[in-house]
Amino acid sequence: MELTYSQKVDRSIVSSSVWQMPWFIYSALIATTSIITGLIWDISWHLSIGRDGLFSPPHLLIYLGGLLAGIGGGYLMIKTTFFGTQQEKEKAVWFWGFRSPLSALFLVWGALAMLTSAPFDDWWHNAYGLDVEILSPPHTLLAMGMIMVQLGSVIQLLSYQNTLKNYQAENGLIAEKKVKLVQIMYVYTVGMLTAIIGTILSEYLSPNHSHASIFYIVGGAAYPLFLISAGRASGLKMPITTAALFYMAVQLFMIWLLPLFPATPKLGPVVNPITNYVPYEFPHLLIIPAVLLDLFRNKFEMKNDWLNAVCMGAIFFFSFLATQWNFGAFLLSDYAKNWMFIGDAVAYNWNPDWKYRNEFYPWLESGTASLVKGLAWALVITMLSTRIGLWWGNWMKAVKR
Amino acid sequence: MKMIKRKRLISFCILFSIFLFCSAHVGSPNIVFEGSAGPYKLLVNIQPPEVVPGLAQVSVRIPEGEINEVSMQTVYFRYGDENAPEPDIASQVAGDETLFAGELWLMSNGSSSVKIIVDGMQGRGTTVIPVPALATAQLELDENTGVILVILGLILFIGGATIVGTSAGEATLTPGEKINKKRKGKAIGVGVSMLFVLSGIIYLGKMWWQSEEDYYKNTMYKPIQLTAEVNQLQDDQVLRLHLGDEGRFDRVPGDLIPDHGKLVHLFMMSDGDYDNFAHLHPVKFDSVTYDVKLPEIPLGKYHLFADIVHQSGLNETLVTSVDIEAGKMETASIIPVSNKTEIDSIPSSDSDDSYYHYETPENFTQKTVAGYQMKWVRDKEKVYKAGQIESLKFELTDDNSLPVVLEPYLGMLGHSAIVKKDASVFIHLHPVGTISMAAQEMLANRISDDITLCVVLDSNNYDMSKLQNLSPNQITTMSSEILKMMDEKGLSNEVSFPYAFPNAGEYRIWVQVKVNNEVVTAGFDVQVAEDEEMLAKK
Repeated sequence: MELTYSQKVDRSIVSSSVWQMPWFIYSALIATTSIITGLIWDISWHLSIGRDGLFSPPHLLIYLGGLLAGIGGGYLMIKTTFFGTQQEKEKAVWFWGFRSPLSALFLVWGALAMLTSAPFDDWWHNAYGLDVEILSPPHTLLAMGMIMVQLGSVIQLLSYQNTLKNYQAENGLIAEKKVKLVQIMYVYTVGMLTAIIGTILSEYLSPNHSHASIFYIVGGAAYPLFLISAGRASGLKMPITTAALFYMAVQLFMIWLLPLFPATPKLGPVVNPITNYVPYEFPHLLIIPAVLLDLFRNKFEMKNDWLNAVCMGAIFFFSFLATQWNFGAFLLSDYAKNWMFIGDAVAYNWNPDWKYRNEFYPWLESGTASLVKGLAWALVITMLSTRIGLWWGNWMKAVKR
Repeated sequence: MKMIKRKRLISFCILFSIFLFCSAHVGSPNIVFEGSAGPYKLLVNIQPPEVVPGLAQVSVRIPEGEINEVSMQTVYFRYGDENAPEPDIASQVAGDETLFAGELWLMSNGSSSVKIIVDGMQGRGTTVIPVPALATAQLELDENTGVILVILGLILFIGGATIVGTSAGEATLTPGEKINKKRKGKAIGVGVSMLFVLSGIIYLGKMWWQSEEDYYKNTMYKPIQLTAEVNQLQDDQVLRLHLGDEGRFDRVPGDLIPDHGKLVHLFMMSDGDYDNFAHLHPVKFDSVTYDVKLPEIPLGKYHLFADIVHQSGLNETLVTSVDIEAGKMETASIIPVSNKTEIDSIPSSDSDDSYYHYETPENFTQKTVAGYQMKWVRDKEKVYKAGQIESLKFELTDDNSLPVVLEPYLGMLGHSAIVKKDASVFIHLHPVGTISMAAQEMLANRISDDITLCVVLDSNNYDMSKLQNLSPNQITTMSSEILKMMDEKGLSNEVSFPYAFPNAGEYRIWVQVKVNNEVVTAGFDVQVAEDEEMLAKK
């Protein structure tokens, strides 16, 4: 049988040793994992120890992610441009005279943005003092870099997954499990990407925000975009659910692991004298909207993506609202003040007796009318985010290079 | 995520827009303290951060004793030591066994301090040094960093747009398939659109940056607004000071506490030549108004520096100027003083108030009132350099060049005021250094440890009568004999002030001591040079 060009190329990649996965796939997985775990650790570090330096352990973990991404992406760019086979070059895209896989461009851009944020952040601290917030202009550049690295990892796995589809077509059941593993790995990268987005936006997504519309505007704008696009591009049956599981798993792992280690505040005032790491926030129960979205996809998905966006957006919005509205209240209750739900976690510089510690911040909404209006906006924004997610998913499905 | 470099970027490429009058000590932010922590003598130099949260650089010299460990801790007045982080161990400076150094974070604005704990063969000793945590400067983006950031930013900007364009173009083509014109056009179109989107993001980022900068400027330290007016009342002139009601940075209007028994230490110096000097102590009229009878001083414009200490231990020097004209009510106020309260009585004179007209010293010796001579004990050839801690030592003799024992003057052997001759630097110094003793006491109250405070001289620890009760056969005209006797009785004719001139330029040093219950003042000029070695190191 005459092989198609695509099959030839794919066979060259997957040929005899398909399970000797290219090292840059592993490196992308490690990069994405180290960045998100480094970030969660770093936030915990700031809640527990306070003082850090350029080479604090969580920073090193984040740098490792950036470094792996930069080296992996840079290697692929240079290898494909200068030493690549004809087939490799034809499977690449143009970039300022280079021939490179698309994912490598994301990885290199992300690493460069992370690198650029370093002198910018350093200067920022010297000019305006050490910032005590997650989002500042230099941190946003760093966050953009981290997101691009995560996206690069997503696209790398996506491209690899798409390549293996042909292999599966030829090798049938033998390859099915192997292909499935790569599909899960792809969804894993999506889960990590979702976790990083959620963490970066967490200043608006705490339990204390969960009875205000800002929570649902920010959550509705961010989560569907990444989850629904992955649902469209993955070959798994329950991809959004799987991604949501990974999203929750990595955060639960960190918030349950870190408090096992001792930590002493190194900055003052020490309003809450802690002895162990203070974990950050309990993840959102994205698993519930995710299951519903996957069920919809499998049973009721329509051809018209605008209709899909309206339905899936509404499913996400209402299930997210119902879940987090109640779960937020639970997290602020005494029932959550235990190691599992970390409701008793208070940073060293936060007064545990603060009036609003266990309250929904009253200043976020001026009344019911403002809440309803805000939630209406949140619904519209969620639907738009879903529509963009579907469009992006279609693109991801079509990415071949 | 937080990327903190321990030391500042190379300082020569840093442009400071320092607000000269915005440091609690005018133009002289460094803190020098000479005192004790329990049995250990210390010389401490603290460089507070110019931005908050920021790092204070601390060095502690302990010239004597066997030391095991020196540690230090930031203690805020607001939070006390029960909420302070654990002390940091200072590292011994290589090659200098007596010097210990470290860094401490000052995380929020307000009245703060550094607690020093010395552990050695003689046991444990602690003291506290007030360190105001105030943002006083803002760093401009230096050219080199700016160029690097712009280049990297451009690469990211154009690169980002190219990646998005390529994503819409070649990325979805089957491998090997050539890109056609239509798709190429689409890629370029998407890429160019992305340039606009990125430009929008950069614009929003710029607005955000600006709002962060505005916020920072709003959190910068602003001294209490001081206004002054001179009122003629019969034959006397009364200077009225009005303090603004700025309440941030651990300040509450009207919360002044006495430092050496005085709520306000006011230093006046004539503009231009700085030759006319007065050290006055205005008395409280109401919580924000203070009056003082002016001595007979030449007319003209005067710089006013008012040293005050708040209840929180925050020490400030307020600055203004005033024109004094004969027989005329005059104001130099920037903000007019409220007319609600008329001056109807002349405040009583304070025996600690003083006025002096500068005379050029000869051979570092100035003749003062009643034949006394104040000598600046220094090497004639010595060059004073910016940033170096010096011990400025002065001795008093009579017209026969015999030592004259100094009386306690406001609880210490002497006071000094140093001004740079462009009014950009002013500091009120004591033998313990630049700190306010009242501030130290207020901060020590917030610490549960046994803090060694600065010694206030009184008849218990500095008994003048011991020398006056000499029997006739002990009276001598030998200078060395007198000094020996003074030493034996714990008395002195010398006073010294530890200080580091902040920058190069021409300075006037005023020294004040007390003899026979009268304040004796002398003035000395000094040209301070840049420290070339330090500059080269930077």
